Amino acid sequence: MPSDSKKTKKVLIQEVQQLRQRISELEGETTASDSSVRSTITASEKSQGFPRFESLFNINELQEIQDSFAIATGVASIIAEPNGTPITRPSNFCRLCKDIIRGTEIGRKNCYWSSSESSKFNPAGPFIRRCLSGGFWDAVASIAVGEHHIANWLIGQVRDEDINEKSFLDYADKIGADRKEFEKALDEVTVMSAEKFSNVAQALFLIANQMSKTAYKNSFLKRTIAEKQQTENQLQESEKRLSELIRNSRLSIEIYNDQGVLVQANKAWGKLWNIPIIKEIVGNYNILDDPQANELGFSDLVKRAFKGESFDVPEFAYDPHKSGYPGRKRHLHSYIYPIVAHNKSITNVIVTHEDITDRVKFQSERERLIAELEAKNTELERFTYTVSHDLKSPLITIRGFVGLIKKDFESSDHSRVRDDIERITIAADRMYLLLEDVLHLSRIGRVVNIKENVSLRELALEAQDMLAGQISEKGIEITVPSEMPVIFGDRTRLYEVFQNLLENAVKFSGDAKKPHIEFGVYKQDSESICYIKDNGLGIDPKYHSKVFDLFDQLNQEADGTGVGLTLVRRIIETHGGRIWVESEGKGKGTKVCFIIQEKGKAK
Amino acid sequence: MEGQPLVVLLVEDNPDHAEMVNRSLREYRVANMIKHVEDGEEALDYLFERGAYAPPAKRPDPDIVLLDLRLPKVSGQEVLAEIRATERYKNLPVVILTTSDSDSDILAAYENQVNSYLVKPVDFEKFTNLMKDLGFYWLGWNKYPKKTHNEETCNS
Repeated sequence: MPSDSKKTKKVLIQEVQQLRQRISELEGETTASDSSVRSTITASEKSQGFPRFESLFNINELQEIQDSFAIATGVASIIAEPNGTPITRPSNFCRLCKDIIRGTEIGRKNCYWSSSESSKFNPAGPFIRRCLSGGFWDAVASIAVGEHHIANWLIGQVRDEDINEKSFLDYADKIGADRKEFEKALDEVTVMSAEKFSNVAQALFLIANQMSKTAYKNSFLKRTIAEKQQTENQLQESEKRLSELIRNSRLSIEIYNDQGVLVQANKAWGKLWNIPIIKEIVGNYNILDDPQANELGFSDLVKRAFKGESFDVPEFAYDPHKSGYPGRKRHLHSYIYPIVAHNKSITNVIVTHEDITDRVKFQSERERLIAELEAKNTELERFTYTVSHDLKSPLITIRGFVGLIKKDFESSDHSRVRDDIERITIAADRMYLLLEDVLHLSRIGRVVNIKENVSLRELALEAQDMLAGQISEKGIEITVPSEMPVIFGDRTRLYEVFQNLLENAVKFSGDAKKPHIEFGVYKQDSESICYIKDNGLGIDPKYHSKVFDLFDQLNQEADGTGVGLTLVRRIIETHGGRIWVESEGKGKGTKVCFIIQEKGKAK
Repeated sequence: MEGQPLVVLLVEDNPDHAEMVNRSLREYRVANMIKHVEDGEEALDYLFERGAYAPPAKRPDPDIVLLDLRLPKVSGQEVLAEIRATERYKNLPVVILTTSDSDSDILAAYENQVNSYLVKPVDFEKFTNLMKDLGFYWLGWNKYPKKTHNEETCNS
């Protein structure tokens, strides 16, 4: 028997060695660096709740170890939670304990009481004692994660070789078990000396200790992995949010790499430049190679952004057509800034564009309207000034000479009366003429006749017919070219232009030997310039700008009020044109040039 | 009204108004010698002895200018500016006599150191009163610097 027990012990130790080996292997599969685990384990352990035993160990593998241990040593074995709930299936349970003792009510109670008594956490070593239900050897080794007791490995149901059969049979009577059956089952129970059981328990403790360490590491790894997973999830969420933000932003966003290649662009960018498939441009477009971006200095700003600068470009215009891309010219408010990594390196530069084309258009339209309004206002002021001044003059004459006539009568100086009355009459007539002219002038642009295609040649010929009498009287020769522009405009008004200009030319034909008036057209900067030229009196260049002013007459002796050229200029301006005078001076003849825009003539 | 008669240069494009000024000044016997020119260009010709007034034609230097503003060819403001820019005439008294009472005209005239700015009244009574006052003040009470140039006078 002693030699047998020695042999058994040897085998037992071998078995235990194998089991420890197996545990180490299992550890190796899950453990990363041991030292890093130890350095951070406490902090994470404190901050988190503990995972369940089942999640730290593979129960099937444990069952295998537990079964092997039980078969090798002949003890019964089970792993249970500290509260007694079994984790593994029992191994090698003897019939006596399983069926006969627990078959009785008292026996079962005692068994449970006994196991609960032995389930306390004991990190120093195995807890060995005789069981409280029958006095068999029992031992418990705690499995813990750090300070946290998560399970107990229980072995037992071993009969001490020194205890006689009688005390066991007395217990059978005590719990009311069948004595014969009890005796029969008792023979099946493993018998061991106290020393041997103590050795087995010690081995169990070592294994449990290893398992504790494994559990500890498993728990830590599990938590680390969970934390990493959580961080990764958060990163993914954050990245998703950011990319959604970029994708759906109304701001056009472009991202360039340090070679100047466009590596990312969002929907607003595609919309801005009318690019339906963004991917076709991304990866191909290089801002440093775009001549237009270079010319605008934009490429330079991107280069500088890669050195850490940021830029706010409040307004500039980019025309994608010039660079060979679709889309229309846009006015933009742009930002250029680097993406700086943790290590201060700059991997990308972001360019955002806000489309301010409408704003710029409105702005320039507004400025144009304001300028137009200011010009109109000035014109109106001048008009009012002139009219009030020129209407006041004949009024002063009328009142003045009426007063003088009274005096003439008082002093019986009747000789002057006729002359004074004549002055009054002329002044009143002039006032009427002025009023007529003002009214006429105010109608231009206000009362609009239906526009039509008007041949300027026809107008010149009609004016010539109208003034045929004066022309033949003065012996003036008139030439009209065979082709003159056709204008889409107000025929009646345009006729007035030709009539007035021809009238003036005839009126100031002077005493040239061969008076001649010429209508003509020439091209300059793609514009057709019409003119009427005479070899008459001419106008001193210093008065050229004044001839179009209202009621300004260079020649006091001439008929009329001086409204003619003002009228002509106004009609031409309402047709979107302009007019000017060319003359080298007195006696050098006069050339009046004008442009009337031909737009709409194709109608 | 002692000593040498004063020479008035009347720059007025409206012949009726010129006649009214003439008659009024004569009626109150304040008229000395009135030289009438019809536009700004003629006024400058007179002052600078050009054109019809170029030597050997003789004309007296004016002691005072009665200047209308709205004139053909060269405006009254231009004539005034030209007078003030000339060393010979920079002290020449200039009285504006115009139908315009616009602020910009008044300001522009004073910017050019005009001596007086008068608006022609429409009312005949007021017109003759103004002429009377103007005559007494400018041609009676007012003292002028001694002429240093072109002393000769002639009758118009």
